[in-house]
Amino acid sequence: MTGLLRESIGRVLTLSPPESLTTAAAREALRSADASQTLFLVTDGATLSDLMSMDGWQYMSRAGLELVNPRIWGRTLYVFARTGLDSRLPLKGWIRWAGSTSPDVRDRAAAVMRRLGYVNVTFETMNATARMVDAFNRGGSAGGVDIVCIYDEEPSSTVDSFVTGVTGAKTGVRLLLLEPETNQLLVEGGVPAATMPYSAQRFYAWPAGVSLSATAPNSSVVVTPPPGAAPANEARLPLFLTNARRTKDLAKIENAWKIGLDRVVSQAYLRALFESGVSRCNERDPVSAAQFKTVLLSSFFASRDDPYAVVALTAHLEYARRMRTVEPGSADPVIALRKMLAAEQQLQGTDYSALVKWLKQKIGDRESNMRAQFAGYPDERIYRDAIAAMRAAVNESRPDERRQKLTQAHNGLVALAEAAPVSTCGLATPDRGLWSAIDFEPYFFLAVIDAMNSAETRR
Amino acid sequence: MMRARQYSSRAGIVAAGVTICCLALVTSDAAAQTNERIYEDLDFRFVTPGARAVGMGKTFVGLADDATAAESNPAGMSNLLEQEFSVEFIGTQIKHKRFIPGGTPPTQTFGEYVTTPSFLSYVLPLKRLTASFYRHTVQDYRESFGFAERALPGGDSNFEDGAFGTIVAESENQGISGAFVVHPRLSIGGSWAYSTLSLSTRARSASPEVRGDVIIESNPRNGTDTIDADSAQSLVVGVLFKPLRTLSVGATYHKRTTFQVDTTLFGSFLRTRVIGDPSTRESVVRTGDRFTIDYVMPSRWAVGTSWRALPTFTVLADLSRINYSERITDRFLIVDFQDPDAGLIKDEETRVCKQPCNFSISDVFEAHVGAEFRWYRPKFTMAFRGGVFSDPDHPLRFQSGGNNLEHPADPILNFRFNTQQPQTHYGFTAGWGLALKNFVQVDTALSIGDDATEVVVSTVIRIR
Repeated sequence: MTGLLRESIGRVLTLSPPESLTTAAAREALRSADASQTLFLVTDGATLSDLMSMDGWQYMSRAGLELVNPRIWGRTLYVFARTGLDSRLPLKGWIRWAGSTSPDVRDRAAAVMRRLGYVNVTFETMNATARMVDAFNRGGSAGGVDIVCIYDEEPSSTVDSFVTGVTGAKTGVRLLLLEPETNQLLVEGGVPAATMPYSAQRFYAWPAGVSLSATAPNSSVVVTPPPGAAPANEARLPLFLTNARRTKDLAKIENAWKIGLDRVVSQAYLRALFESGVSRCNERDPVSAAQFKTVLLSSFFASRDDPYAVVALTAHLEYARRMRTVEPGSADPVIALRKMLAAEQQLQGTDYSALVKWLKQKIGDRESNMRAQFAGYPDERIYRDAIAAMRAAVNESRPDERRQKLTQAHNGLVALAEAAPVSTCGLATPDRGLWSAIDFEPYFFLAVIDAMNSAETRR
Repeated sequence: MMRARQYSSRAGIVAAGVTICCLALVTSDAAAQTNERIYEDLDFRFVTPGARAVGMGKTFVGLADDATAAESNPAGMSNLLEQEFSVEFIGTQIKHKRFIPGGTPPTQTFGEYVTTPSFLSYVLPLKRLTASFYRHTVQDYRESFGFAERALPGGDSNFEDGAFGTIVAESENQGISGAFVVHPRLSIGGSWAYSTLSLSTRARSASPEVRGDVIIESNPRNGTDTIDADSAQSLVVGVLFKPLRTLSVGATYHKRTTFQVDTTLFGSFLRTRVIGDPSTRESVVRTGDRFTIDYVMPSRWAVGTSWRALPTFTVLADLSRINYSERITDRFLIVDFQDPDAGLIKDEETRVCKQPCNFSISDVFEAHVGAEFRWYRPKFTMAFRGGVFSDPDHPLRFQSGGNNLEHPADPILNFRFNTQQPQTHYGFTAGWGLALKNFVQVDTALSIGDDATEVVVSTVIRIR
């Protein structure tokens, strides 16, 4: 992947040969680095945490290094405050901190709030979105809360649901973001954090009811997990940092590419994964599969503002996240899927046959897409094949054959994602085709098929 | 002249044939205008809606893949997966070349610059069905002209009158259209519109005074005044067939639309009191005589194809037939030389052309060829377009036969309407378009032809 990036960047800038360094050597190299020269740093999450804990963050900050691909591995801390709060008064807050359940997350959140000028916020942990919405709508003075922090990987259905809930109730909400400072990387209360350009955050189109803080247009806060908090299989893909913005080379690169650096990084990830084989996505390599999905979503999402797609993609991520957080061997994908569907689709089902029935119904809805066939969009044939495989799977009574057909359907949907016009592998595509159709959610079906495959395996 | 737009398809040809036959059953009676010079070689603006189509040589029959298809080829609306809204504005410099008898040069150009909000549509896909509402300005024509009288060549004592006049013709269609995907390769569609015409003309044969190069509208002899409006129904049917993923063929048929308007005679007309006796010719004042005439939008059909030669490059071609002959109807009023002795009119009561009529207009074929190159970028798509089209003249012609060849009407009308031979002109178009995030598309086009120069701006907005 770094080779791909070097190839792309090398078309614009003259690059020195790459160097591989130990953590300590990297720290020294950063300490003596010429901040006027453009640097690229590729590392993994664990090494980055080690480097920062060795005061490397100071040198990275001085050099102006910024994380270009935080959403691949990092998670964004969204801080929502009721409008009209006096930041000097004691306030009550809830925090959702997905992944780690360490109690000190409340302290970390409070530290971040202090940086935002809210000096006396008491946090409790809360992961139930509906309760967050209710409490926030009531406000702290009426027994609710004034602040809600959501720390989640993106795109986050929690953020989406929360914003929908509070703006629907016409509660004034302000999204607080950290003002960019000279330190692009910082540590607060033991939490390594990185600021990133707000323009890179394109997951949500904030409704009118959400006002942004005065410093919002240029920055947001991305908090990387503390050392050890990230699942092992999420640390394999490299993080990409550069100070090109400070040295002005970023504008040169992006003007040459006519595309953002973060987008190219996402594409390079994806292309690297594809080049190593689509079979990696086939659950036989769970490490790559999880990353593939994340990158795929990231790449797909970066240019999307289709709310329906947000729901579909969020559903898949939600499913994947729940699967990762349950104890090995005790995961029940059917239950997880049912919860997800209940939340997203209001589906009531009690057993596997209900899911199959529901899936049949959903497939049937898409059977007569003759218009798409007539319109002749490039991905229509793949779409049709994927739907046919899904239909064959749900109609198949023999377990082995059903699993085989589900796998075929899964591969078809992955192929469809690969053919997505929103540049998966950096290739220009002539039409957006079915990705513009409002009734199509391949990622959602991907999640459903994953769950059914897992359920089949466990039966 | 006409810049029409029609469309066709292959498997659709059968369907089109059936449809055309059906339409023939509902076609209304013919219509016509008068034999005054104001109506000769009258231009209709059957411009294909949408700057995108105009930029591609006014081709769209075989492509029809955006909201402008409601008028261009309704079957093409099946290409849309999302709701679309489109609006178009057009600025036209009309350049009507009129034959000036004995003049040097023999033609003179008249016309005005007209700006029109020419097309507006909303398209709603509903499973295999597509519905659309649209408004289309079919004609927005304005012209004032004038030229002096001259002696006919050959030393004859006959004079060719001078003439002057003004015409303002506005016609709009407000309609609904639908398309249906019959088969993954075939779509059919049709449009019905409530058509309106507002016509205001003042036509005079005269001996206008000439001061330098200026024609003073004076000394009128006779003519007509028409200030009227009417409504009618118009129909379009179309098919689109895609034998290959990269090739589509379309066909359309636009039914003739006939409006009826009242016109009033002005001035004195030649009349022979005793048929066959030239010594009894006299001037008779006919001011106030009122007649109903037809104003015809001729029927037209077209076939077209588009071939996506490369993912970024599409070539298109349309061939259309415009049945201008339909403008000569059984209400074609003879204004010039309604003298019964001339043998041109059916009777003195109706004063319409006798049958067979001595006046005719030829049907014409128009050919359109265009291409589009698209430049795809992640956040936008840019398109560059170009095309050429043919534009044959379709003048009013006079044919001797069955009339009184000794009457001065015969040589004068022969000279007036037959001296200038019709020609085929060629026009060129160029266009540019920008689509942002597949959400909004803005197109511009320039069309340069012998009879008009047009600047078109249109936009298509996709609604999700």
